[in-house]
Amino acid sequence: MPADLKELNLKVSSRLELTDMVEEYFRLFVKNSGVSPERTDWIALSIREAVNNAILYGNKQDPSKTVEIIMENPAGGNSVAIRIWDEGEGFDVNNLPDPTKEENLLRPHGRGIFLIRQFVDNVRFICRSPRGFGIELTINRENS
Amino acid sequence: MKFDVVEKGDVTLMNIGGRITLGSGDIKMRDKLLEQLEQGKKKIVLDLGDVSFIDSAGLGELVAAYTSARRHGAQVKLANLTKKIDDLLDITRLSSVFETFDSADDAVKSF
Repeated sequence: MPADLKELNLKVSSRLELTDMVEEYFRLFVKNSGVSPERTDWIALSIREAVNNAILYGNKQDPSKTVEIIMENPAGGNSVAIRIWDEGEGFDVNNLPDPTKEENLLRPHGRGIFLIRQFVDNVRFICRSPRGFGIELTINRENS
Repeated sequence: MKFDVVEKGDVTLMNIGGRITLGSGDIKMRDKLLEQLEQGKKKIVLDLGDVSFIDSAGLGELVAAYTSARRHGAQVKLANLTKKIDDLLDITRLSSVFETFDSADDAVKSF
């Protein structure tokens, strides 16, 4: 993959085994972007969580539906942006249970979005018309 | 994902390696642990020293291991955590749920 790659678009069908491939592409994409290897691991985890959510909850593992991943690394910019789109209707992002609360600690699910919020600098949720739900992860280079 | 099970007296030591992520290692870990619980094992140590990557589903499996063990009257302790897993347990406050040890030997002796 060229070192000066500024944008990478991937479209994958809704199969969980493809998340590994998305992670690998992300690692290649940020390799020369000034993000430290340790931070890359945490962001890779965040991307896995977002892609898995898109496949499981957005597209309900319907293989005819796609997940679109757009990675942007603008020249001279201070940040790397990754947007992950599914074909679902989204969810109420303000009403997610806090997995660190005592009553939720023993729940096996519900930590994905929480982890994403810990490891990237900004998280934005976007609805698009007529359908589709996206999550945008922004990573500032100066924090990397 | 790699697994091997070693008996240390009445303690079952499960050495886990590789990735514990959604769709790959998570189900295998659950099955292996259930096997031990169904055989009546009551003291279990999960040695996570060779786990290279874990995601929220993997953390969920650790929680499920803990709750399944409790239902079977057994106890699960964690040993040999990598820095990343240790950080994840802290961030998610799961460090308040699990007993963790620097080495598998320490975990085995703690029962």
